Formats: sequence, C-alpha cells, structure tokens
Amino acid sequence: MRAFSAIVLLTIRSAVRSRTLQALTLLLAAWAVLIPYTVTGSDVMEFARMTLLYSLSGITAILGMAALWLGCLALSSDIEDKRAHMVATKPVPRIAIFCAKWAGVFTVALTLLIVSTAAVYATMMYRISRDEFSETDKARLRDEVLVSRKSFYPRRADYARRAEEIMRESANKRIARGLPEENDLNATIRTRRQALSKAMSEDSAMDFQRVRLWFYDGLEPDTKGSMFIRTRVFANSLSRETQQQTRILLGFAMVRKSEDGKSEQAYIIPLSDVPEQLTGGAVFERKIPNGGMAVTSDGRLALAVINCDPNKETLYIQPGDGPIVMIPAGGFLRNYLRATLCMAVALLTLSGLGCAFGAVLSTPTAIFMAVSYVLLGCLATFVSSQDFYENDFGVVGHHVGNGVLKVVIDLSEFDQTERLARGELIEWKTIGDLSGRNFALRALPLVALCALLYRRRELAGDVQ
Amino acid sequence: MSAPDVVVEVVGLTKVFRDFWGRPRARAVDGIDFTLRRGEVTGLLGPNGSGKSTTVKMLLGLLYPTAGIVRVFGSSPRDVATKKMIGYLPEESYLYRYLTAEETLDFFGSLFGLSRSDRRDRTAQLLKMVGLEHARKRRIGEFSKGMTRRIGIAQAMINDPDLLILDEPTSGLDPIGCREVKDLILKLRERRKTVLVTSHLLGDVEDVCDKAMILYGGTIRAEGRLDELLTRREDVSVTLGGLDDTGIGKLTEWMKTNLPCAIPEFGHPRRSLEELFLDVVERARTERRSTSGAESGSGVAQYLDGKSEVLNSLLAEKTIDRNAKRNAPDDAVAVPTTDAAIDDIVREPATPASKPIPAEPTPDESEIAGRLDELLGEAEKESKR
Repeated sequence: MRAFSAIVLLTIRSAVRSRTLQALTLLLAAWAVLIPYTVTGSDVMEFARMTLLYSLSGITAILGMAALWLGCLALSSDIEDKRAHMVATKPVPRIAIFCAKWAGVFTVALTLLIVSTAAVYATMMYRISRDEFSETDKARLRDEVLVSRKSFYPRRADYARRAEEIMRESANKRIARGLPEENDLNATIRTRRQALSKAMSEDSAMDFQRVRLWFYDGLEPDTKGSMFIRTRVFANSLSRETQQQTRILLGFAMVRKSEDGKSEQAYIIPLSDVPEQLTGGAVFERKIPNGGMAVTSDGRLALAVINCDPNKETLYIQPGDGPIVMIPAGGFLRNYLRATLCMAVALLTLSGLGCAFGAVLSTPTAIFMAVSYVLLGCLATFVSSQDFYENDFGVVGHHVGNGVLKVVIDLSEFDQTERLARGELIEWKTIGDLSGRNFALRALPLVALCALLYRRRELAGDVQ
Repeated sequence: MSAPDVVVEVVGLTKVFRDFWGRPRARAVDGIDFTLRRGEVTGLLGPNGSGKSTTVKMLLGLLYPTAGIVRVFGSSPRDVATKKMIGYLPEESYLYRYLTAEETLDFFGSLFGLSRSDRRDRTAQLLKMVGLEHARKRRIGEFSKGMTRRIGIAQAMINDPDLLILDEPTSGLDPIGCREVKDLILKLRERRKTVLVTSHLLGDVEDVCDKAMILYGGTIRAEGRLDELLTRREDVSVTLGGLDDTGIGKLTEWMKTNLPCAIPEFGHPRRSLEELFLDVVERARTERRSTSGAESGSGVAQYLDGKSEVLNSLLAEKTIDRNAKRNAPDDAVAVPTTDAAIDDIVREPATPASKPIPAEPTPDESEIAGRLDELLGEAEKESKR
C-alpha cells in the first residue's frame, strides 16, 4: 500500500508539473468563473439554464481531454524515458503500478472537477442572490431549475405492432382491389417505414376538441405535493417555421362510482378555468399545486389534454415530449452533485483508457488511439441516431453505429447537464446504467486487457 | 536445486531481439552460463554491444529470455519477493527530474515498503554517504552528472540489498567519487553482499572485483577469478627482501653466469586487466565473431585528423628513414605510420627501450619543426591542387 500511494503521489506531482495541465487549469479557471459571471439570458430561467449548460459541458470537455492526455503520458512517457526501469525493478507488481498511475491521474482530474464545479455553483448562486432578478423570477427559478424533479413519461403504444396492423390492412386492401402482393424488398421496406411513421403520427395527433388521455405508472401515491407538467405542442404540422399560438386545456381524468353505486363514471377535473395559451413548438411547463392528490393509491395517474386550438388545427405532441409529469424529489444541490458524479465517472473512464493506451503504445500512438476511440464513439452515436426508416443511409448508420457502440463508449451519455438545467432528477438508476454500460462493460474490459499486456510487456525492448 | 550461497544462476541464457513481424533482428546474448555467489564482487566486461546490458536487464526481469534459465535467489527475477533483495543502478540515472534528492530517496524507499521513520533515517544516512547532504532540497533536474550519479547510487542502496547490480557505477564521477564508490563496494563485500559491476573502466573493475566475465558477441569469452585471469603462468617472479646493492649485484652476476634468462626479477608478474581485455577482444575479433552491437573504432576519421594522406605518407617515410638510421647496425624495425609512433620518435622515449639503441646525434627540435613546416606546406599545396 505504501508503494501504491507513493506512485499515486508521484503521478500527481508529475501531472501538476506538466505544462499542458497548467495551461488547461488556467483555461478551466477562466471557464468556471467567467462563464457563470458573464452569461445573460432573456430571463432568469435562460440565464440559469445557459450557465449550467455552457459551464458544465465545457468543464467536462476540458477535463475529459486532460484526463485522456495525462493518462496516456503517465505510463508511456515513463517507459520511453526509461524511468519505468527504476520502478519496475522494485518490489511492486506491474498491475499495482498501472492502477496507481490510473488512480493518480484520476485524482488530479477529480480535484480539478470538484474545484471547478464548486466555483460554477458558487458564482451562479452569488448572481442569483444579488438583486438582479425579481422575486417572481426567483420563485420560478426555484420551481423549475433549482430543484430536482423526478420525471415520469406516459405509457407508449407499441408502434411496431401498430405498424404491422397498418401493413396488414394495406395488404388486404391491395388484395381486395385485385392488385398483386408486394414481393420487392425495397418496396416492403418503404411500406414498413410509412406504416411506422403513420403509427407514430397517430399516437402524437390530437384532433380539435377531442380529449386525449395519457397514463402514468409508478408515481408516489397520495401526496399533497406539487406536480409539474412539461411538454411541447406543435400546431397543424411538426414544422417549426409554421408554428403559431395555440391553446390546450389540461386536466386529470378520474373514475368515480355512480350515485347508485352500481357502475363507474369517468370524468375530467380541469386544471384551469380557461385553456392555457402556449406557443407552438416551444417548451411549455405548468405547475400544479397539490397535483400529487390526483395520483391513485397504486401510483397511477391519467392526464387529459383537450385540443382548444383557435384555428381548429390538429395538435401534435411527439413521443419525446411526453407530456412529462415531474414530481419534486429534492434540492438542486443534490442533483448538482449527481451531475458532478456522472462527470467524475466520465473522468474515471477516460483516465483509465488513457493509461490503457499509454501502457502498451508509444506516447504519440497512444494519444492518437485514445482520441480516435472517443471520436469513434461520438460518430457512432451520431450515425446510430439516424432515422432507421428515413433512407438507406439511416439503415446502414443504425446498424453500424449500434455495432460500434457495443464496444466503444458513448461519451455524451455522461453529460447530464441538460437534465440538470431542466430541473430533472438524475436518478441513481441513470448513473448506474451509464456507469455499467460505458465504464464496466465497454471501457473496463479494454483497460483490463491493456493492463495484462503491460504486465507481460518487456520494458527494455530496444536492442542493447 | 541451487546451492545455498548461490545468488544468481544463469544457464544457457539467450536473448534474440525480433522485429514487428517476429523475424530475428539480433542475437544479443547467446547461451551464456554463469553463477554469482554470496559475498562475491563480479565484473561484467565487454565492448559496446557485447550483451552486458541485455544480460543485466534479464537478471532484473526487464527483459525476458528467449531461451535459458535465470534464477535470482532461487526464483524468477520477476518475482516481487526477489526484487526486495536487489539494488540496481542503471547506466544512466533515470530519475524523476522534478523530485528533490530527499524526495527521490523517500520515493524509492516507499517502493520497498519502508516505514516513514526508516525512510527518513536511511535517506539522511545515504545523502551523507554520497556527499549530497547540502543538496537534499534541490531538484534532480538541477544536478550535475556526477551528482545525479551519486543520488543514483544512493537509491540503489536504500533497501540494503543482498544483490547489487551496478551499471557503470563510476561513470561521471570525479576521482574522489570513484574511490568512494570502490570503497563502498569493498565494504559491501566485507558484509557478504553480492555485487555485479559492469564497466568500461577496467582499472575500477580490477580494483574491486574478485571475478570477471568478458562478453563478446553475446558469449562469455573469458571468466574466472581475477588472480587467475591476470597471472602470467609462463613467467616467474621472486621477490626478495633485505638485499643491498652489493647483494643485488652479486645475484645478478650469478644469474648472468648460471641462468640463460638474465632478468633480475622473480615471481609471477601480472598483466593488467586492460591487457587481458584487449587480448580477449582481439582474439574474438580475429575469429570473426558476429556481434549485434557496435564494433570498436579504428582510429580517428581522416577528416577530423587534419592531415592528408600525402602528409601521412611523407611523415611515415621520414620516420622510417630516421629509425632505420638509428637501428641500422643491429636490425631494421618496421615502424607503423601512426601518430603515436611519430610522437614517440619526436619526443624521444623517457624510459629505456627493451633493446639498446646505439648512440646517435638526435636532431634538434628546431630542425624537426622546420621539417614539419615543409611537410605541412606541401600538404596544403596538395590539398589546394
């Protein structure tokens, strides 16, 4: 343990004396203090969201790069400068040397992360506490950003099954009209794309003056706390350019027994006397005091939305826009710490990958490979997010991207700043998922393999 | 099974370096066998590229043998427990430049698991031993080569090793530093520690080593106790005490009369280690042994010498003329056209030559200078042409 901590300490010393790290630290200090201090938004909400998004995403990027760089240098430069001879001839197992180097690099990155995120938090809170914003703004900020709220998404229809039904109906119609069956593969794929698109469109659409219900499960039952509804409504089409002001009426759907007690009746409790006015295509959020009372004893909730568009247009709510039901679950600081923890897991992963490449490759090759690995992950994330049914590129991209992401980490998953800025609780399950998927299943096997290769590696392989 | 006092046992050790595709690139060590015993100081000698460093790195577990066995204290050199008993000073001090002398020793002490108080005590003692007490707070990066070497020696001693491997221990040290290192090695021998020294400074090895191995082309060309290796068995020397000049005169007269070899010295005269080394290497070279490393140099390159071919040949002619004139009555001596030969003749040897040279007027210095000027002028013209 003494040897391990000595190597950790030495790695920290070495990193602190590295010119690259000194330059990055200056950049980080400027980023962590200047961004929160200089950002201005159209209102307090925008100020807070921009501050969190820009400063924390920047810190993650800078520190991620530093962790990768230092990790690569920690072992490869020691081997190249032959200082590794001095350590490897001492009674310290090679695996312990590897782990100690990793721990040292991670400690440096983590310390910088803690200091910089603390600086961002302190600067932001200082600005909010000053009299720059009205009390109403501050109250809204506390409700929507400086809070951690647990998000609940509605039950989703089975789009694949619905698409199959649509295709069957279409095939039946062709047969009824005496047309031949589709045997061409491309035509079948095209029909499937159209069917799926139609299924999703059906689920998103709300006709004028019609009630649309969404059902939620797993909520905390029988609470009197506040609730937030967050969504984004498009009027007439999903095009952002054609959006205009629209109206919806929100309510909770309930079931009660009839007066004679023999049957049950469904009814809607509207959440406002007049319909809510909102801008099409923009995020809309509504606070419902005592909303928790609408949750049933088994944790279910039914939300009703009535289309009250002044132009009698069809309204659309896309699957990603919920509507999301949000229940306050704790303070902002707790959520902020969890977002920082996600960043710390990212730094742990990146410093490990840096050490892994540095342990088996020369310094320039290690840096090239490490950067390529991370960029490949970003590229794979991008191509896999292509619409599978959009075109042929989408199909190929989807398969290739998903295949690559089986072995390469997706760095963007570690950045939970957007959730934090929306006041959404970053759940332990999310942290566990991203750590398990990216760190334990993808990065750790590669790190372990490189550590084993380092253990077997000849440290004086040049001809003497 | 190793004998109890065997510290290092090497059998058929071979190391072949390969390229990226696994093709053999160089056979650095070729089936060597040797044993180091407790309390012995052994010198590992050889020209550049003879396989010394590769052998040492295999003993330390930094390189893995292609074939053969290496046992250090009866186990693999990669064994963590084995490494606890080894101290190593590499040929260059690969130390962390940003650590101070004190921090360096503390760090290496920690790698051996020494407690804080032990590290503090040993650091202070070692700094005193290598004469760097005053520089304990200075960074290694600011040290001179000699100081870095001293701190390197100190770190090799931090664990009080039973086996100490010193690669060029006196390189970069001043004469006092060299003496101190040699004293240290002798002190370790008294304490029954095993020391393996590789060095190009043969005098140093001769001063401290009990045994020597001379490597060439990856094989051991000579091995044994220094006494045995350096003793000339074909000659006899006798050392007598208490004889005055008259006695020596009588003895010499008697020997001249009664013995064919008129040498007034008795016993086994020793040759120097340097002579032995050069002899072994020369013999190996004539056997056209292949070596993976550099060959010995063959004099200074002509363009660095500052003399043209014409000048050299003219100088040689003059020298031969003069020597021939000197030695003509007895026998003719073939004089090489090297600078050393020219210098010897120009300076006139201070020590008596093995054969008496007939009295001959020596050309005075101004004459020699004049001749050289003439020759240099001719050489200059030659080069301009």
